[in-house]
Amino acid sequence: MAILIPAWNEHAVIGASIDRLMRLEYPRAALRIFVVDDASTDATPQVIQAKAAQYPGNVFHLRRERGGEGKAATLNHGLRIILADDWMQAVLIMDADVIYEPASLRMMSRHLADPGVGSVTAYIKEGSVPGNYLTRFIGYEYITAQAAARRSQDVLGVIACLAGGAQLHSRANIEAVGGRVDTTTLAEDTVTTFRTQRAGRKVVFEPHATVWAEEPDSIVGLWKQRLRWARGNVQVTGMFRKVWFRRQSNNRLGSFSFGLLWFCVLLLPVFMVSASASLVTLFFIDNQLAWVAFHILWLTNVITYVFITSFTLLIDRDTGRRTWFQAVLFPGAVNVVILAAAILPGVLSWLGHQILAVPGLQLTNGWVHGLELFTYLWLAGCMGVAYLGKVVESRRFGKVLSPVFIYVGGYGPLLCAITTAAYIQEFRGADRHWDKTEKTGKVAAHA
Amino acid sequence: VSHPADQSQPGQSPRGDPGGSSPRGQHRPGRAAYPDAPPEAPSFEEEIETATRYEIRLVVKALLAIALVALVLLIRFHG
Repeated sequence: MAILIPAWNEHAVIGASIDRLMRLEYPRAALRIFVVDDASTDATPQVIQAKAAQYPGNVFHLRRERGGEGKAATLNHGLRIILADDWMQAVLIMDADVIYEPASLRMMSRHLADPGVGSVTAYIKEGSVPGNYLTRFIGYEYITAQAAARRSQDVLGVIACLAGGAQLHSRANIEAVGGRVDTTTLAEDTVTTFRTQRAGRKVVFEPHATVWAEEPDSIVGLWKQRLRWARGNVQVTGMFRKVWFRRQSNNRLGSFSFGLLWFCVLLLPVFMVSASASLVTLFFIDNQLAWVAFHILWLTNVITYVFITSFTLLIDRDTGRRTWFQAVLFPGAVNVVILAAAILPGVLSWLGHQILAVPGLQLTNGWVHGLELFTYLWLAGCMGVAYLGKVVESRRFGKVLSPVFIYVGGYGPLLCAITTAAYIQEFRGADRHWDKTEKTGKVAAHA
Repeated sequence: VSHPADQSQPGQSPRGDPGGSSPRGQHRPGRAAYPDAPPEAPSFEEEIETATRYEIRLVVKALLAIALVALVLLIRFHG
């Protein structure tokens, strides 16, 4: 088992990461850690060399003198060296800061006993200590995206993406996909996932292998990371354009269910803007019809919201206990009120009357129509409000105002705003440089 | 890369000692989950049982979430 860690200026985390890897429940004689130091300018080389001396035969320092070409190029440097030796039969590609729970690697590696399995990924959890409101949003999001969504993809027999920080490949698979990872997109892990499945090998999600990761604690940091992911997904959509909704003989990438899943996420901002524009237009043509259409749309949202939120919190109750508040407000406070109005219109109408009665006003038809129009506009407008959270974060009172914008506008709409920014950057052909997410070593295993 | 524990016969540890017991201590019944597992570590069979229980609980949790959706719709249309 070779463990490949790309590292650029990771002196704060790399030493502890290597120590933890050496404590994994995995035979030490069958474990080699290769740290590819991407021309680090801090103390990273010295830390790795010290660990190589501490664990002779287990830890290896691979230095790139000319770096800055991104994670994919760094990984390829390591893969070239590892594949030159027959010893390696499986390779785990991970990030420098993540924490593998002791049993995780052996639980992942079991799946490779089946030669039909090419790759295995783990359950990544957000583990920043101390966390803040944003890391708790991410913590909740990761249960949904992985313990629920990736798990359901596993059941469907097709996985959209191996977690970049936890991807285990058999040697046969790495060789079958060309012995290297893609350098032409910003989503090398997704490209590897697709290529593995197109080559006829299965990709497996192991929910019992837990890996803790440090995620951004600022909207600016999150924006940078997710913009890279979203642009990568746009690029992958184009790169595999001949795959979508076309039956494949040896994989399920072309299945209707997978295509639906992929494009629902990728095109969510388009759906939100289209729904908003349609309802506003319909309001001015036939406001009764607009109200009926809104009700159908929002009842669908209620069903989805109640199911996803309750199921997600039940799946991982430890994380759920820390993140329940963010779970409830994931769509944003205003959207939650609209959802409540869709369930209990009478109660909300009564509440509206009571609130307006305080300053001596009445809930007239004008107010009702105004509220209807606001609701239709909010469907797209919430993305703009969430975006304001990023704009004000680095300004005066940003630490206070930024969370307010996210709680009001919504974390989900913030992710949609990032996807919108990805469309724009791809359309404009913006530079595809790799923006590394800053890691400070504040991650800890919560279990 | 099959796990060494997978290659041994049921009731044997990777080193071939019956019941997964190590020379030092008492392993739980079944195969050791990994080489050199300490006696208190769960056996391979126990880990598989845990995984199976997790799957069953997932079904129960999904049913609970569906029941909650049904309750919300009931409130909406009959409340």
